Amino acid sequence: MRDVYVVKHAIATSLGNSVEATWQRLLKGHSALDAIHHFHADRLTSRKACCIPDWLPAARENRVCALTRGVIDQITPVPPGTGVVWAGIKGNAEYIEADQNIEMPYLPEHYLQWVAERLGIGPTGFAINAACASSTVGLAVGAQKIARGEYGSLLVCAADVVTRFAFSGFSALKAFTPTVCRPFDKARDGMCLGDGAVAILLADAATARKHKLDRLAHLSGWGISNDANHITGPSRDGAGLVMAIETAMGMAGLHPHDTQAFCAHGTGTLFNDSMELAAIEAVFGDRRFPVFSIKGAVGHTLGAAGGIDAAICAHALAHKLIPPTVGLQTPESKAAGRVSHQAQAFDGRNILTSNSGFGGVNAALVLHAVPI
Amino acid sequence: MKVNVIGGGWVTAVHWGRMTDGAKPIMAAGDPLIPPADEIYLNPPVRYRRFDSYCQIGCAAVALALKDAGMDRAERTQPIGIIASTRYGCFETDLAFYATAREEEGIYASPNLFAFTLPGIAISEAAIHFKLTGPTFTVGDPIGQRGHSALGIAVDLLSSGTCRTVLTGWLDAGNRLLQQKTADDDGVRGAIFIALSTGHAEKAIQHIRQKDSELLAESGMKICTIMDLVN
Repeated sequence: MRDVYVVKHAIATSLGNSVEATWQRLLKGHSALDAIHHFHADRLTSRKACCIPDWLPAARENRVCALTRGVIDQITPVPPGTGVVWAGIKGNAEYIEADQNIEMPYLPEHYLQWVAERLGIGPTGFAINAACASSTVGLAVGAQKIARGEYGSLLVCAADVVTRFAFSGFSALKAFTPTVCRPFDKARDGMCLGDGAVAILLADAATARKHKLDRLAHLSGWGISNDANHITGPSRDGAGLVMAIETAMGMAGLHPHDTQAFCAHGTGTLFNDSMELAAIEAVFGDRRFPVFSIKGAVGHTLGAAGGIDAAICAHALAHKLIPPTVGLQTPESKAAGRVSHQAQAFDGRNILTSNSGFGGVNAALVLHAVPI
Repeated sequence: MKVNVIGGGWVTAVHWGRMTDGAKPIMAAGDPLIPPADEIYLNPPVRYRRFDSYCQIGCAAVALALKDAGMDRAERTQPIGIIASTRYGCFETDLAFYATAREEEGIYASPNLFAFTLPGIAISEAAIHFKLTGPTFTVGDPIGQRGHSALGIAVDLLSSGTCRTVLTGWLDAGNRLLQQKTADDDGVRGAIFIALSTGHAEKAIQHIRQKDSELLAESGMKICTIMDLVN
């Protein structure tokens, strides 16, 4: 099996239009949570989200395309023969909101084709939908295909935007915080949504060498599971997430005492964060090491969330720093000594990252720093 | 590596059935038939009455495939994955949900419908009902290659040792509310799932092999769609 590397990454979030721009504002503890301007939310359970302003779609495009264009323009060029994995999950929402009257992409295959055309490569690849773990699963499945030798490189790409469609749905589920998103906080009271896009180019060593691509991180392990519990509520004991984490760690050759940081899904809801802390205790016991979530800063970016987390983890490994968990004030007991509202110095060589989604899906990745 | 096909089930616009019955699915344009729950399940899923047609046919085809493989008795969790190929996913339910959210700034948006606005929910409901804890997600495939990418990913999961058994297939429900179908839409809707395993050789109906990026039937024929395995 071939080793798989992250060789390029690009993100667009409400904190910034690049990994570095987002990173710098994360370190300063900024949150992009602000009033929504592009639809009325006054009568819903929240009026705020982490939106990226001023993305102007071109003709026959939509905001998902505009965000995606922003990240793939940072990634281009990619090696010939690169496959594409599209992992956005509600690319049809804007089409539906336009009453199906405006010509724009609305199926996953449309976005796959659109990305491939923009990069000037053949539309080989596939679209994945694993709810809010889509880009994490996309990275795992893509890595498996490279490891097996089916592809030399794969671009995992996702974008989701704050739409009235999704916002009214989460409001109906009473999932939003009426105040501020506080992952792992004692007083956490819900999530917030955010615009986000990500493009991560994975490659094997030979492809990286041939095309002079820097190996930014080694994607050394992955795992995917299902809670088999409930379609919107995570299992209370975190057993499904434990399975995904242990599979990823096993593949990476990591024991629980070896894992040096964890980028959690950390949505700020009572149940998700409790589930994750239960899983952390089940796998790592009392061991304290840095755990963080960026959703208090950039919101929940749905399909793009896992890929954005992975890009931030690669950056954290390179800069030897764990970003603060923005929004956190008083960690709940299981989070104390793990999650911090301040950046944490980090000389570790690996980061575990995981995401979970509706339908009970869990996905975990292990990223290792690349030896110099 | 060699993979055992140990069962399969389908729901189409003409009928429903299982591989070991010796039948083959008849594909036709039109809305798939919804099998009566008592003909498919020992006990129907808890939320069965809330299922949209996408969930009904998806769960039914998974149930038939599991029954065919002798794995439908959900007494304890099983690390079996479900990878489904779909083109339109839950589009119909998306449109039905938005109809509840468009007025009055969304205050009447249906939480029950919103919970079904992801294409993986159909197979997640099956995972919940049958206690399947393996990887569960959907994949897009073009019309002419129904189930192809899902099949490839399922075999990847088996060859990597992630799972010993995976259900994989294709699922697309009727979508009357979607105004603009794709130009190559042939109107065929339904669900076909097969159970693949690296074990249970005694149950094998046929075998498939993975060679580089291709999947090959026992005859050596290249497998392009899920139909190649059930016909």
